[in-house]
Amino acid sequence: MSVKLLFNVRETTAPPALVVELVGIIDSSKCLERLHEIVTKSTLNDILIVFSGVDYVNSAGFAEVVVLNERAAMEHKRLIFVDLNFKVRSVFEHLGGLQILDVHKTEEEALKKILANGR
Amino acid sequence: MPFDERAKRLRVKVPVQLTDETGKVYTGMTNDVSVSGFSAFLRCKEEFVINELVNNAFVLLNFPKLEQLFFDKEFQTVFNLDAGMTPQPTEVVRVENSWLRGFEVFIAARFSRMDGENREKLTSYIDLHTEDVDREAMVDADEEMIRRLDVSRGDTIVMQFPGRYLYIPIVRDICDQLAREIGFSDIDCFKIKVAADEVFSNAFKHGSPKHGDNLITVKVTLDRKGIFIRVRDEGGIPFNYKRYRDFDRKFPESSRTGLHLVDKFMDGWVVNTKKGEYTEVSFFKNREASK
Repeated sequence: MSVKLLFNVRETTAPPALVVELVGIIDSSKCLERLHEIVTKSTLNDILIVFSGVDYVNSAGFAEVVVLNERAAMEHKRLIFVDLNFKVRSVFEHLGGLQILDVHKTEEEALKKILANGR
Repeated sequence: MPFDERAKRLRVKVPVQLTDETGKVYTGMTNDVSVSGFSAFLRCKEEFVINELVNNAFVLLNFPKLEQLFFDKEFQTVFNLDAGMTPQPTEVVRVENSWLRGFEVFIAARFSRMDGENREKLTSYIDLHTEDVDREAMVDADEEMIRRLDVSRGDTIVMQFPGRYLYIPIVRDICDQLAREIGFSDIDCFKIKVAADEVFSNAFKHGSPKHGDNLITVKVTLDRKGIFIRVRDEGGIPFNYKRYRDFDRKFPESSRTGLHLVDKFMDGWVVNTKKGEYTEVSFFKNREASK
């Protein structure tokens, strides 16, 4: 069975945030199981999910992203989605993702926003 | 103020409730509303009405008693709209034809004093739904065009897959590759790939009750005009696919599905179902517009 999604995890200090870089495809619930664990175990409340390496998302994958976001909110953590390429962004846009998720163009922009909000 | 004869007809049946000065309530349905008034069929279960109906079945009569129920009174009207309007003072201007249909009476009414805020809310609501008339006509025309597409001149690739999850990425990758071979742009290939994914996934999830023992047939027709894909399952479960057509305003973000992507990404799509036998989803993308 092939691995569809890879995760690279790092932290920033100013502001303190967890950065998770995704590489691959998000097309089902199983893709994000590992990401759920990462988010739950994180001691940092701001978590950036970098999509620059994601080249395909379908509606099932998007639904899992929404579930992930909701679970994080219940744990008082904020997920910020950054660096979506044009194709992935179009899927998010048409499924309402830009309204219900915190999406920013770049990691830098998201980190600036966290700093500005004082978190 | 005369009744507005240019009332825009709404595409949806709208429940309406009129309450007279004594608190008596009449309920019914209207689909003919303007900012100056409306018409409606109201339920009217007065004793004299019931007696007439029991004795005379379907009749065409003038009922002074019936008209007395509605004329020279001010009602408060409430529509079951998602428009946030308050109850509106209303006068009934005619009980048209004074005929009964199963305890219903037809009325035409005008709003006595509608304030600016409510007027604006109602205008916006009417404009929003009046557009749907033109949009639905366009969609129906698109549908007719798809049904008449000539697939005889292009190359048609026919594939059959057992109803298993593992074939979803294979089908979408094949459609992606075929689209690239005939010259679609990168972004359009992505859109075709997503549409194929969503439609095949639905065929697997909803149209393959016996899973691997069911077959899903995928036909991809390529010609210089574009790509035309048909996905047929063996479930034959009918569904109201027109709900998913470009009606973003009716669907909150939380309830959009893969078929919204098909609708947005493709140049047209249609569903044919033979109940209990098959459902076939067809969609196409024009190559000429692809850059």
